Parts: sequence; structure tokens; C-alpha cells
Amino acid sequence: MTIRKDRRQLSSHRRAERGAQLASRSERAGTHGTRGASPGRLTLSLLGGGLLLLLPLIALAQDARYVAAGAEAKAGGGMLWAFYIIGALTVAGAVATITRRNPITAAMCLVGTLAGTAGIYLLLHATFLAAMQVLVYAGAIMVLFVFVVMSVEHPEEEEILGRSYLNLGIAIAVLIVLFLRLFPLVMGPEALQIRPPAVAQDFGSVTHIGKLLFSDYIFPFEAISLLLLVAIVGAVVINRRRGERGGEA
Amino acid sequence: MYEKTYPYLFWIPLLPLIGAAVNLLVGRKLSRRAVHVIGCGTVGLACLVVLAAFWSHLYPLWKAAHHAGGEAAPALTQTVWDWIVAGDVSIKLGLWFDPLTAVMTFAVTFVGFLIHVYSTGYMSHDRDYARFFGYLNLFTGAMLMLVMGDNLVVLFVGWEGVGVCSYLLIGFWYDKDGTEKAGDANATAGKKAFIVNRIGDFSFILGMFVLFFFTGTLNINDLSHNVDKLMLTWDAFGLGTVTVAGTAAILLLMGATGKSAQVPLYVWLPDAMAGPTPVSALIHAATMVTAGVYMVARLNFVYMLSPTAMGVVALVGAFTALFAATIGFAQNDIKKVLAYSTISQLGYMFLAVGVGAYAAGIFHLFTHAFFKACLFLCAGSVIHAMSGKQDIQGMGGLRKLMPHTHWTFLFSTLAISGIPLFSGFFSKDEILWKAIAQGNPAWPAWFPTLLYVLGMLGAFCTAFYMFRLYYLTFSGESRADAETQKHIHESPASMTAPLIVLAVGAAVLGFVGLPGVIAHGEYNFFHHWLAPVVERGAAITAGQAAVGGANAMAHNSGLEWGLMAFSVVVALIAWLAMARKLYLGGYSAQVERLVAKMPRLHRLVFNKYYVDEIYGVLVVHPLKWLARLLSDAFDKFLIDFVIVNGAARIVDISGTILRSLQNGNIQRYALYLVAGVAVIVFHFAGPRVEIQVKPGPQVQVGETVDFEARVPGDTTNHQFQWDFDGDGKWDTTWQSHPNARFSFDKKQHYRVKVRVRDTRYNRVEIGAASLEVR
Amino acid sequence: MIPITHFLGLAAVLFGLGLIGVLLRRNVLIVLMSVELMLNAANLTLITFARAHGQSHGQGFAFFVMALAAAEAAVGLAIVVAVFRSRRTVHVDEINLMKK
Repeated sequence: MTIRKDRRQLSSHRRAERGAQLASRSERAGTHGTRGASPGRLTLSLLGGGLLLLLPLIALAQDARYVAAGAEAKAGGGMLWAFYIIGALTVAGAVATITRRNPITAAMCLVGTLAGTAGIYLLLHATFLAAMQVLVYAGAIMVLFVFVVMSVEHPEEEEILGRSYLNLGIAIAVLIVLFLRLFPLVMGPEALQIRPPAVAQDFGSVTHIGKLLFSDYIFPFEAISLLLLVAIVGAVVINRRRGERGGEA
Repeated sequence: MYEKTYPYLFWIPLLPLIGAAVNLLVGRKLSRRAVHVIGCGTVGLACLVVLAAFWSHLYPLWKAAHHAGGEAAPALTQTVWDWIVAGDVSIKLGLWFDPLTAVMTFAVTFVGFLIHVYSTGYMSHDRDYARFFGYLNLFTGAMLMLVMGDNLVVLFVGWEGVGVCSYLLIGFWYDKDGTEKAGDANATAGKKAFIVNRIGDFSFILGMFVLFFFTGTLNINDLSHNVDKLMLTWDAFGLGTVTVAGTAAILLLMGATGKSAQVPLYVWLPDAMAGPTPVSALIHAATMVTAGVYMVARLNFVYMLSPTAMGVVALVGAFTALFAATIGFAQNDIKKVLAYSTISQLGYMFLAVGVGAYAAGIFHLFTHAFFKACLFLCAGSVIHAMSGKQDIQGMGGLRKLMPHTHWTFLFSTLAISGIPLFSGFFSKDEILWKAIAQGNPAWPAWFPTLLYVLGMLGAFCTAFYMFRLYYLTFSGESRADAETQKHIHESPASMTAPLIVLAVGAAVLGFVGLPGVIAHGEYNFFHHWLAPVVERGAAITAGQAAVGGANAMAHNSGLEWGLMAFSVVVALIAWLAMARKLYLGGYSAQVERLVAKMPRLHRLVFNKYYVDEIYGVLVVHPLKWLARLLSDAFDKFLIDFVIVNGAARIVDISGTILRSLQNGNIQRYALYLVAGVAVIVFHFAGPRVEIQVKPGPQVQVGETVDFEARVPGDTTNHQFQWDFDGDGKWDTTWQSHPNARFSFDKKQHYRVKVRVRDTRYNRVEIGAASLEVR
Repeated sequence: MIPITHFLGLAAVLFGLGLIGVLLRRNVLIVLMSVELMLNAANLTLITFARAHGQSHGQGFAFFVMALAAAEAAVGLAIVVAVFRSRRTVHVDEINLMKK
């Protein structure tokens, strides 16, 4: 628990640091056209993040009440609204990520998206995974991203999108085709109107997932730890400077 | 049983061929002496082998066969090599030496030898001495193969061989004076000879095809055993039924008109005079041009089976004899006159073989070889003396200055004009007699008379123009300029000796073939010698179709004597009363008056009736146009530009296009990946349609089967269509309920299909199920 | 209850946006971020179906995906840094030569 708290604190610290760095940076460069990070913004983002996480918790609690009451799960209601709000925020974050010029901004928006996704997970009774999402994805991976963004020089980008309009055209065409083909399949009323069954109380809980990991998925579990080791070593090896006296950078 | 294998036959063609190989390959490094020793020596040796074969081996056989008569055919044979053996086809390189071949080989080797000796003098200053002898030997070898072949393929090999040598020798001075431009005319003449010959050869090959197709063999002996197959008929494009023999005969004849310079393919022979004079003597007088006559004589049984073909042969010969003779009236080149004379005499030979008088035709061939070769060699001698000039308008008075040449020329002229006791009289007269006395009952009654008249007129013309030539060349005063006159001299012995030998032959050889009227043909040795060949043909074809033979007039010896006398009178008139009067001592005033009276006729004859020009317009020009069309439109454009370059350019362009797919842009590659995924998804996405079959996957015949289409989700907007029997056609209309019912009537494996349509999205999915009906 | 299809739609939208980012952005880091976005969409789909079928195997699967994504991000960013060190650029269309 403490680690978790520390991490949260650390992340907000980091956010503040990042904000400050960003401010100084934009002052120096002066051409990015990004708005300087002001304390107000930081607070806003903290609040937004909190909201993102709280809303589904509230909604889930309501749902739990219904389930405990043995009543038929009702469609709509609070959970549906929660879904729409969180979903909107997630999508907005995703759009922002792919359209921002400044990679730091993009990274921050991605954090927002990931947090929103965590909220969605909560709506789906995947509590453990929601926590994992925030910790690992939004917490560790995005930090790594920000590190690298900062250590790399970003010249003035004239164009966000690539120089090729052909790419753009084909990409949009492909996506339209995919959507047209799959949308009726997915969103059509006849498909997948599986009424989700009522789930057990501990569905998606740490215990439940833990039991799963150590019984059915024991082998992938071990394998993934090996994979992580390989990834770490690999990351180090790739960036080893040639000719330096041994070692880990 | 009258055949015998003689293992040395192959030396006869081989010796000259060896000489050719030596002279052509290494001749340039040898001395002149070595070259002409090899050149003349090989031919001389071949002649000796011929004589040995004839005297010691063929003659005894001939005597035995002559007693036996009928189908007995004496011959020496030798099979050198199995050439083409493929399935049923067996063509061997076989040699056949029978009386006819003996005559031909003797003429070729003997006259050839004399001409080779003559060439040592005539070509002594030429720088391509070795090449000349090489070609000459090559020609001799090919000609010998032609006359000695026992099947048509070997004959054709020789046929083509002499054609090639003719081309090579006519265009011998292709770089006259060291430049190719000056020799261009010679090269063109050579090409003309070869190409016109080729046209004839095409017809010859077709004739061979016809014979082979119907009889399965090209061996002449075997063909003679297949008379029944030769008599098969076919419908000729609705014009009437024709026999195989007739078809082949006409086709082969067309080939012969090319090789032997008859109408219509004679046009190359006058132009061939561009070659050196020994060439003209050997090839275009004595030997090559006689190949056509030989061929008809050799295949006499084929011709005898078709009266039509024989009529065509005779008519072509007679017409050519007269036609060419008239052209000789107005020519001024000494060699051209002799060329037309050759064409005309060949016409007589064809006339003879056309009416069935094969012995007469070959006899004339034999005597013609001697006197025509002599005439040409004399002309060469004259040209040599006149420093290369050939125009008789600038000659004259050579009688005193070149006595040997003069006398030999005179003898040969007497022979060719048919003056009695000279050889030409006997041979030509026999032909004319046979023209009227022998024929085919299938011919119309006036036909022999027509042939005789044409031949007679031709003889008249022959005597006239030959003596015209003689007088203008040798008599009177020299019309040449002073410079040329200084150089006039008699030719060296190497040139005059052959002339004398040939002239003696021209004078004397007639006596081997005295006409039948004298002592009932007992002294017609030539006729007797060839009898086995001729009578064999007659015996084989007896009883088939309308076979010719002596007609009603044949036994009228009075008529024979009368016609003989008539021809003598005609010849004498042409000589003494006309040619002598007009041309003795040069062009008399009368000549000019005659020419002035009919200028257009003179011009027509002088220009050879414009036949070359007509051919040019009708044949040469369209062919050149076609060749240009094919070359530019077809070859250069279609094949080179469109197909070849086009293929390359297609590869190039597609390479450029495909190259642009890999421009290094990784996101572009990712795009391809995504596009591929989209395609796969597009293809496979869709609700799976399952068919539930009651009672099960195996049913009985006639049993009612319930089908239900299971589509996941809500099926309210779905429509279903079924195909039960697997024929690809949908058996029901669109129905909105997923159930269907059917009973099957055949015991087989069915694949039932259902089509599911979502009316909102207009999307169709297909599901299938297998069903076994027992 | 929220219909499952809503979640799937959201996942599809996220996936599409991530795809656009991967295909069209020049900055390689943004591209990597878009890849993360796509992975998240996949995760969402997995978890949706886990809820739909009432089994938590989907969540287990998503757990592993997450771990994998972390590893992949680490290595990917290491590569970005290495490439940047030699090419001094983070633009995808400028990194198109294999040799130095």
C-alpha cells in the first residue's frame, strides 16, 4: 500500500517537475506555441484524473448494490452515463495524443487516455486490472516515455502528418472500409446481444486473478518474467556505448 | 538380276568433290600448276572410272538384259550410306549406274575435263584461279551426284548443288576490277539465276512430296514398282480428276523449267552469261541445264502414266524452241546468242521426251553437249582475242587470224544447224520425226503436227541466226578499232586443244545414232543402248491409262525420208539463201533496209519480247514491296519494337512501378500491412451461418429432411435462400424464416447451401452443410 | 447494464485512432505512443469479452498483454535512443537507411 501511495505521490511530483520543465523549455524555445504550464493546469489535471477514477468507482458501487439486492441488472442508469463521460474523455485524450505537435503534450494526453481506460475497466468489474493499468501503464510506461522524450531533441516539426498524402488517403480509406465491414457486425442489434450474466462478487479481484495466474496461467507467468528480464537486458545492451570500459550505463 | 554392286561407283562424284575441297580450302597457298592439276586431274580420273565401270561391268550386264528385253534393267549399284532412317522412311545415299546414267556421266566428265583444261588457259591471268577450279570441281561433283542418285533425294541434293555452284560461278567476278560496284551486275545475275531456280525447286519439292505421300518412297526403282499407287486420282479443285502421276509430273516439270531454262523460267540464262565463258560452256550448255531433261527421262514411267503431262512437256519444249530461236535473231552479244540457242536446243530435248522419244532426247543432249560446249569455248577464245569485247558488231575478219577457233566454230555451227552428216543433224532430225510419228492416242490429232511445225520453224531460225553469228564474227573485214585489232591472236594450245576435240565429237558422234530408216534402225546404237531404260518404262506402264507409242505414221518410211530431206532443204535455205546473203562479210545494206522496214518488231525481238520487264512488274515488284512491308511493318515494328522492345519496356515499367512500393518509408510498409489485414478481415468478417440438419448428416432416399439456418443474433431482418442439390442454382426464393424442408432422390453426397441476407445492410453470407444420402 | 457493444465500439475507436497515429505521424515517439494506444484498445476488448462471458481468463490475458507492452515499450524506446544517437533525428521518414 505504501508503495502505491509513494508512487502516486511520485507521479504527481513528476508531473509537477514536468510542468516546470515544460514551462522553462517553452520559454527558451518560444516557438512551440504551447501554453506554458501553470499551476492552475496542474491542479486541473489532478482533479480531472481523480474524477476519472472516482466516477466509475461510484458507478460500480451502485451496481454492486443492485447485484447484492438480487435485482435484475438494469440497463442504463448511472453506469451508462459514467461510461459516456469516461469514454468521451478517453477518446478525446486519444485524439489529442495523435494530433499534438509537442511530444510531451502528447504523452500527457496519453496518460489521460490510459487513466480513462482504467476507468472503463472498472465499469467492467476488472478492478485488479484497472489498478494495474494506472500503476504500470499510466505510471511506469508513460514515465519512461517522458524520459525518452526529454532526452531526445525534437526539431521544429513543420508537419504532423507525414509528407505523403497517399499514406493519409489510404489509411483513411482502409479504416473506413474496416469500419463499414465490422460496424454492422459489432453494433448491429443481432450480434453479441449476449446478456452478460451476473458475476460473482470477486470477479476481477486480485484474489481471483491471482488464483488464475498461478493455476491456469502459471507457465505464461513465468515466461513473462523471463521476457521482462530479456527486455531489460536488451534495453541496456542496445544503448551501450561502444568502446566504453564495460558496462552498464 | 541384272543389277550388280560395284563398290567403286562412289569415286565418280567423290573425286571432283575432293578436288573442290582442296582447291577451295588451301588452293590459295598452292601453285597454279598444283591447282589445275588437281582440278583437271580429279575430273579426268572420274572419267576413267566411268569408262572402267561402263566397259568392264555395265556392258556385259547390258548385253544380257538386251537379250532378255522387257523389264530387265541392267545397272551397277552402290549404297554408300544410310542417310535418313526414321520409322518407315528410309532414304539412303545410293548410287545407280545404268545405261542412261552412263551416258550422262560420260558427257559430264569428258566434256567437263576438256573445259577444265580450257580454263587453265582462259583463267590463267585471274587472281582467283584456285577458287575457280574449286567451284568448277564442286559443280562437277554435284552434277555427278545428280545423275547417279538412285532416289529423288540424292538427285535433289545434286540439283541444289549445281544451283549453288551456278550462282557462285556466275557471280565469280563479283568484285570486278577490284571493286564491288563494278561487279555488282555479275552478282545480280548470279542472284537472278539462283532465285529463279529456287522457284522451280519449290515446285520440284512439291512434286517429291506428292510422290512420297502416295507411295511412301522416293527411290526411283521402288517408285517404278508402285504404278498402281501412282494411278490414284484426286479431284483437282473441281477442275476434274487428276492422277498422282500427272500431278507429280507437272510439278517436277515446273522444277525442270527452272533448271533447264524453259518457258517460263528461262530468264536467268541470258543473264548468266556474265560469268566466265568456261562456266557458260560447262554449266549452261553441256551439263547443268540438261538436268531437267535427265530427270524426265529418268522418271519416264511417271510421265508415261499421264498423257496430259507429256503433252505439256512436249508443248513447252516446242514453244520454247521456237520462242528462244526468234530472240537470237537480233542479239549482238556473242554469248547471248549462244545462250538463247541453248534455251532453244533444250526445248528440242523436252519436245523429244515429251512425245516419249527418250532416246532421241538424250541423244540430242549428248551431241548438244559437244557442239554447244565447243561453240561457247570458241566464243571464249574470240573474247580473249578481242581483249574482252563481246559485241559482234565490232568483230569480223577473225577467220584468218584465228584459224583453229574458226574451224571448230564452223564445225559446231554446221552441227547445230542440222546440216547432214554432222551430229546435230541426226539428233535433231530424229526429234522432229518422232514429234510427228510418236505420241499419245489421248492427244488431239492436230497436236503432233503442231509440235512438228513449231520444231521445224525453230530449226529454220536456228540455222539462220547461228550462221549470222558465224559470218559476223569471222568473215569479212574486222570492224574493231585499231587498238583491239593489234591484240587479236590465236589462243594458246591449252584452249584450242579442247576445241578441236569437241569439234571432232560434234562432227562425228552423230554416227552412233543413225536414224531408224537406215537399215531398220540397226545402226542406231544409241537407241539400243538406252533401250533397257526406255522399254522398261513402257513395260511398266503398259495397260495403264492411255499409254503412248508410235502412231499411225511411224511406219511410213517414205514420210520419214521425205521429212528428213525437207529439214535439210530448210537448213540450207536458212544458211545459204539468207544468212550468207545478208551477213557474209559484215552487215549488208539489205539488213539495214529490213530493220528499217519493221523497226517495232526489231525492237521487240531485240528486247527479248520485254519478258524480263513483264516479270519485273508482275512478280519482282510486288515481291519487293511485300518484302519491304514484312521487313518494316512486321519485323522492324511488330517484332523488334512491339514484342522485343515492348517486353523489355514492360519489365522496365513494371519494375519502376513496383520499385515505388519500397521507398524506405516504414509507415508506408505498415500501411501495406494494414491494408492486407483489412482485406483479410473484409473477406472473413461476417456472422457464421450454421445449418442444422434433422435428422442427421446421413439420411435415406426420399426421407424428408429439416434444415434450419442458425445465424447468431437477431434474425428478424434476415432472409434465407436455399440450394439443396448442389447445382449452383438457388432452389427457393427469398424467405424470411430460417427453416426449410427437402427430400432427396439420389444416393450421393450433397452439399446444401443457404444464403442469408440482412436486408438492412444488403450483406449476404453463405453457409453450407454436407449431407450423405443412402 | 451497458451493452457490450458500446465497449467494443470504444475499443474500435481507440484502435483506429492509434492506427492513424502509427501510420501518419512523423515523430517516432508519437508513433510508439500510438502503438500503446492500440494495445490498450485490444486490452479493452479482451476485458469486455471477459465480462461478457463471465470468465476472467480474458483479464488474465490482458494482464500479460500489459506486461508485454511494458517490455516492448522499454526496448522500443531504447532503440529510439540508440537511433537518435547515431542519426540525430526522431523523424520516421528520415530513418530509412540500413547502413550508417
